[in-house]
Amino acid sequence: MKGLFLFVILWSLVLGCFGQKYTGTVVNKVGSKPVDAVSLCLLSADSLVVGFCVTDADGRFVVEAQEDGQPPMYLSLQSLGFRRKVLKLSPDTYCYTVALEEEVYRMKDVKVSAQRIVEKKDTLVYSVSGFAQPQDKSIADVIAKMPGMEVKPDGQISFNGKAINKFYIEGMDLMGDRYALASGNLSRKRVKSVEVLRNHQPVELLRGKNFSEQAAVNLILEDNSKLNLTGSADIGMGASQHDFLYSDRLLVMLFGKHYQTLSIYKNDNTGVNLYDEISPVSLSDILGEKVTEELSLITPVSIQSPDIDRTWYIFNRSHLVATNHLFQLDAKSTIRTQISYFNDVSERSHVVETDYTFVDTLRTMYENHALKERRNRLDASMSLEVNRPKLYLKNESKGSFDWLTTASRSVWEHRGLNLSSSPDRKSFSDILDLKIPLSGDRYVSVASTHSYNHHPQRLSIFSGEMQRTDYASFQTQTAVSFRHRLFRMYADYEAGFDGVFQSLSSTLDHRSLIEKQVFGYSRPYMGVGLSYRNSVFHADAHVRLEWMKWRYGKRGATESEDRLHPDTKLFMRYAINGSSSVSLKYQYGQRIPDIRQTYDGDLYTSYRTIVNNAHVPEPEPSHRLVLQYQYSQPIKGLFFSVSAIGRDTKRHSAYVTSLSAEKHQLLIRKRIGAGYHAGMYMLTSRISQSFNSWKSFLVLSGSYIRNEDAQFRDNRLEDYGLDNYSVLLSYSARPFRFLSAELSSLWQQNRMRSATSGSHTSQFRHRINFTFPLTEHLLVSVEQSFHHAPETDTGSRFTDFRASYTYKRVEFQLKANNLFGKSVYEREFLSAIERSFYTYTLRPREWMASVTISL
Amino acid sequence: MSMKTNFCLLAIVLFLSLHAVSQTPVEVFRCIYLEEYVKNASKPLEKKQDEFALDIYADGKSTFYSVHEKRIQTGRDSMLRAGMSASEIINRQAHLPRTHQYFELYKNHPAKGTYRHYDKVVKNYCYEASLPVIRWKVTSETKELMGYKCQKAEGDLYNRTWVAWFTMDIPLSEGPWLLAGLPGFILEAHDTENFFHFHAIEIKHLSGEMKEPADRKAIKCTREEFIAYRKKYYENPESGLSAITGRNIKMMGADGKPLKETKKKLNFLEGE
Repeated sequence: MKGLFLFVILWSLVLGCFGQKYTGTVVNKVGSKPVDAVSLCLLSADSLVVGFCVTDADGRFVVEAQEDGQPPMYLSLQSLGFRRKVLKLSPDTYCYTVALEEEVYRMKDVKVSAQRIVEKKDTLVYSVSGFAQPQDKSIADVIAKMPGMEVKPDGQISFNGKAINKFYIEGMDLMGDRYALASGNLSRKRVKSVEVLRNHQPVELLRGKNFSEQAAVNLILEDNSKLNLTGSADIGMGASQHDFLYSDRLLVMLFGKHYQTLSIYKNDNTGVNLYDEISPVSLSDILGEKVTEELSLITPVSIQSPDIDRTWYIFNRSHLVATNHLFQLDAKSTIRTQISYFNDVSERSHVVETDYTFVDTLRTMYENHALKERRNRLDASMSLEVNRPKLYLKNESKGSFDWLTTASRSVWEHRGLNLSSSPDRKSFSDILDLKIPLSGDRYVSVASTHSYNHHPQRLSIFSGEMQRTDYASFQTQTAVSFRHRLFRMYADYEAGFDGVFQSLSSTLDHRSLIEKQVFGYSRPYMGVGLSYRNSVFHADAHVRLEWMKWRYGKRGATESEDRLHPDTKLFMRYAINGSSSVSLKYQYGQRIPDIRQTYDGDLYTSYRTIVNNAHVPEPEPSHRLVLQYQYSQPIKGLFFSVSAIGRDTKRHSAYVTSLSAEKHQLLIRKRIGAGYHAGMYMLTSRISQSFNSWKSFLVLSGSYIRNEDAQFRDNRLEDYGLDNYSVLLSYSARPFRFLSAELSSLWQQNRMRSATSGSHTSQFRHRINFTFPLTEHLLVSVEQSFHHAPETDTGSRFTDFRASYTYKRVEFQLKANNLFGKSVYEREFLSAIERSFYTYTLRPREWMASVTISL
Repeated sequence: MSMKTNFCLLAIVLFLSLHAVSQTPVEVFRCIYLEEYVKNASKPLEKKQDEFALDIYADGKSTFYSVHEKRIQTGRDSMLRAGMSASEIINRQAHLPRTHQYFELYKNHPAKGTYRHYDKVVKNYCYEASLPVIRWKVTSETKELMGYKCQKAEGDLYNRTWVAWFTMDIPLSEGPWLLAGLPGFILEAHDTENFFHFHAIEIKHLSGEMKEPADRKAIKCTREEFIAYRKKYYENPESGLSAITGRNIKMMGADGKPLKETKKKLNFLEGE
């Protein structure tokens, strides 16, 4: 009874608190003057506001607790310029006079990274500080962590599944297709934000007339990196078990209003691939490739490169000098010059066990190669661009000289060989693009590309004999087009000419393997196109009629044929809503195999491989279809893209592979006329999302690629399929101030299937990086990489360590690579004719100390 | 020194000191809000973005304006002063983001408890009104924003229900647009239909002075009149334009034919 009485009393007190008004006056402690506009709050036991009011001009207040809130326990008073005061409410006091003490209040300077992407019309602005993690050094490292963006191993940047078409620095195109040099060397601390210009049409006079589906990237630099000379100097030294190690860099940059330059000197013998930095990356979309430098026909020894970081298995001595200059002649005209010289000696060694799948009896072939390559490469280019509303003119001339000498101490089937080769390449090209607007929305365009390639190459074969090959090629493409508005569309008319002229000859110790053969075609064409675009739908359709005449055979005894055929292109894009779109691209055309796929004669493409492509060249009709779905929610940091690509090509010849009957069994591949369809099907998807929590970033990507082809086996044409599956999951986050983590896992499987054979190989790769920013200046990082192949039950584990200390503009760094001294890496590869097991020799444990000074 | 010289010197010193007083910058608390908004109600997925600055002065006055439009305006004024032509100015500003949210608010100005509102519908308008009093209902929901503990409150203003997240750690009873009156500073606010969403992205402490638009040609009107002009213009641009300009205007397309009227249901912060 007593308890019930107490409960009733307490409950009535609690209820009494609700609806109870608290009144009073607020005065200044000094002078007791009333203070107006003071915020008064009734707070609950857990400091939540349950009622509030503001004092009037006389400093008086009446505040009442909300009926559905918790009972008030405190009275809080605050006003700008006064110290906040909190009083505990007495159960029986409802009137208060409170004196506030004056105080100078400064807000916390808070800058959040919550909104790391800002959308401004067609431009997305990514804040670099919002995405950078402590371990990131270059701007490419940070771009790789931005949702929707991807940085490929060769440095190519893509946005939502499509390669970017321009890489600007402060709105100027200094680097052209060699932007990997800038993105890989420009410190992320020099870049304020990365702008992604979606649907970027670089040609000003085409804006609003010709629509691009590709994005461009523009780096916005920090103020201290603009207009003045900046750069950095890195000096690194170290040692391994046998070698003295060095890795130095001198970078000088100037990003002015009318002149930009980026010049670099680098040397390295720690395995870093400096050539990748100057290697051009494709700026074209999936179906718009325009190659001007051709690949080599021969390789000294067949090498499968392992899918691990090059710094683990290449022993190199590399030097790179590159200088890039962009002069702005006026607001819309620029001249760009790029020169680079690369000098490299690199060594690698591996053991290969190869099982041929086309022979009935299992026989394993053993090879052991210690390969040494010397490369001298000089690239130079000059580009003039006038990009005005009334004129677009671009002329780009490029020259490349690639002198390569290789020497290999090899063991092949227990026989020692000293192999050498010099697959030199020279290439020149000139690209001219002229566009002139006429009255209204009309314009004419003239575009021409000329390229010359010369490959004077030497290759020593298993017998010690020297094969000399001389390949030369000249290609020309010229087109004139006219575009005008037709009703609510644009109509195009084009006429052009493509031509290819090639020659190939080869001798083996002065004995002719291939007598000078020539191949060439001329292809005049005419075409029409229609283009339509509104706010949600975009369609382009082009039809061309091509007349191809080709000539082939030995010089002086050539044969020729000709054919008239259509070439069509169709593109459609539909924006489902502001966030998602679907697109379709279809292309039908006929491509003729050139002399490199049709020469008649035995050509050694490596020291023990003979390839004879003898067959009558004939155009191969090909259908290509690309379907793409893109979804983006930049505000939420969510991007998703999925692409399906299919290509079907009618082939007129297939390889038959055999081993020579002699003791040293050479691999002989010969083309035989046969009609069949070859296909390539690819499904790729990528979802990336950044989260504000822990500054985390998640990427899940997957791909499936199927190549369908055919080859002769037992005198019968047999279809085979090569399947490649891969799934990649990567995650980075900074859960605590003192910890940043990066994790990635990859699963890959390759399958080869045919009616008579089938095999598969798979692997898991995991990478874990923990970086500990112990203080603002001191950073320690440990990286572990694991590789495991379930089929062969082989695995490896690498551990790298890095510590760095930054003092003002100087960074001191200590690195240890391959900490546990892993000496070999094993990997299995599958192809249509063989299954090979490689054992690569790895670099030993290495220690490096370096100093970086930012200028 | 003659009396005349003394007077002259005195006049100069007085002028300079008055000038200096008038130019003395005062402390300003600036909060930048990122605004995501749906301009066209029939396309709720097409979200646009803008940045607004809320500058709060020590005397209780505050201004609220679009950062992008202010940048355009300031740049245009200085280029005009430098004698640049209209086409040069347009070319130079072509790359700047535009949002076409022209309104500027001056709260507790010209008098305490009132606000002055500048906006543009073909012409520039200016009206003054009493600051609205929102009956906020505070809930017990909390979350952390920018490192501040925030509490949720709901209130109605001009036909929209707003959800605001305020922090008592910032002793300013202020927020984006006309949302204010809570016992703390609003760091995030959105209407229940999510047509407008303000997130605070940056807070800083600087010095400056309140500057009203220099354009004295703004047409004075009442709030109700302005809302009516705007409604009329966006519901029927042709007749709205005629009503605003007082001339009979026909809108023609590029082909010389009269434009078909496209009625858009546009959203404004005032749901009126």
